[in-house]
Amino acid sequence: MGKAIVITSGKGGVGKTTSTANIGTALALQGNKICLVDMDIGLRNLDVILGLENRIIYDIVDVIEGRAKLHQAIIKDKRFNDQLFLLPAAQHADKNVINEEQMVELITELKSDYDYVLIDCPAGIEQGFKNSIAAADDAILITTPEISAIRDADRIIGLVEQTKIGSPKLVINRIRKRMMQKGEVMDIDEITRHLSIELLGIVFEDDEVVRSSNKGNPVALDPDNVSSQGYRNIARRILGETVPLMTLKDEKKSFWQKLFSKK
Amino acid sequence: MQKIVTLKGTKEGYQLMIDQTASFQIIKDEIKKLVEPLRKEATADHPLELTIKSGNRLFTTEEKKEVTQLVEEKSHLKIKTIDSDVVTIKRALEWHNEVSTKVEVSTVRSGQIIEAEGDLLLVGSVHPGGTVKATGSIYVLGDLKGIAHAGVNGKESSVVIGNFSYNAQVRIADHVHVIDQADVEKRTVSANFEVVYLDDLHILRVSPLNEIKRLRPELGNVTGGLING
Repeated sequence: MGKAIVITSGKGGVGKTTSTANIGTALALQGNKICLVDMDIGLRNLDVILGLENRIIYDIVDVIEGRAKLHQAIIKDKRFNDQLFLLPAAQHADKNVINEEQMVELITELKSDYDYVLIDCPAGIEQGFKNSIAAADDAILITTPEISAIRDADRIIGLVEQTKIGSPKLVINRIRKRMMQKGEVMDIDEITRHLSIELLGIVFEDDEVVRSSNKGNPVALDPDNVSSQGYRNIARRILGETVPLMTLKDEKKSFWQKLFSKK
Repeated sequence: MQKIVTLKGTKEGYQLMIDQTASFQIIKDEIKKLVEPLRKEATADHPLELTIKSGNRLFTTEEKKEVTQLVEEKSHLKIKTIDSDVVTIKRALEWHNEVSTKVEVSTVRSGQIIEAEGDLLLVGSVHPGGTVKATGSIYVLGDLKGIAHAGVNGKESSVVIGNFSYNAQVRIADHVHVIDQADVEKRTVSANFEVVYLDDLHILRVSPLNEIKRLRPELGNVTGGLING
């Protein structure tokens, strides 16, 4: 029996979908069988980031409304050896076509086949959010070091804590090293203390994230990328490993390293 | 004077011509009179097929049933079809819808679905996440980046014609074909219009446009096709 983890944030644009794709990828690379579930019905994106958009034949609404079997709607990502799967959202319906009971039934069925079921929650706290939360065993809360995202995160923590899930785990995304070093935004300790939940990991802002998402390749596939390492560390912590937090400090290169490095 | 009910032998087989002005009761009586003696003369061991021509008259379903019953009970004849020279306006419109090409001028955006009876000519692009559906064939004058679903009610002879240079999905009846950019690049064909069709083995194929005439000779001949009844 697998575990269902919802990835949520409250605010839009902080990187829920990107994080879902990358944490899923990183978990799959560790040899787990993963199913990603896109719950953003009407504004789906997860399929695009994974580069699977044109493979969608049936979607989650088709499954809920009985037009397709669950296994018909699930898309296998060919880059992974039977490790990563996607249940896409519908694009021509809205979030109210599904209710919480149907969601629980669906996710329970998925959990029996997969090690982890990652649910990509839509922004906001309406029906889509309620559905995503209803079936989850754990929650990951994504925020950025912006005060607006942190406010929304705080509200989400309150809502999630009222359910059987309990406290979500925090991921601070899109950290710009320089701004945080200068103290222009709240630093990691401040954010964690303010939200007073457990920190699961941090991810640095990197152009490559957008670049690779545009190509339909999750950045977590690249072992050398700084954001990818953040996601890979998160995946290892989910699996129970103890991994030290990445440091903010830029590695000071010696004169000779600067001279001979490519950049 | 012409008889109300006439039995004729033609190249296509036996035909029963019915006067369009006579009342239904008279027609029934006349058919009875005409058909009853035939049974005694029956020599063939299998029933002979008969086509009924009702001229400018439309029989209702009940009337058709009555006539069929009357003829088949009283003789060894079997009714093949009941033809009429006219159709109802409703049926004519349906037929018109089936064989005419709808022209749709718009961009189909993510989440939008454009549906058409018969063939569909889309002047505009289908964006990723958008869908065009037609009971017949689909022609896309624009970039196809979403889903084009031809023959939605199961018409497997439908085709999709368009520029398949992007990631997209083509469906014909129940069959699905995923078009991948990677495959397209391998073929090194620049922005070319192509046709996607279902072959005899029920596999979706992509072919150059000049093959259409051979693959689907009926395409573009919008005549006939109305089956009476």
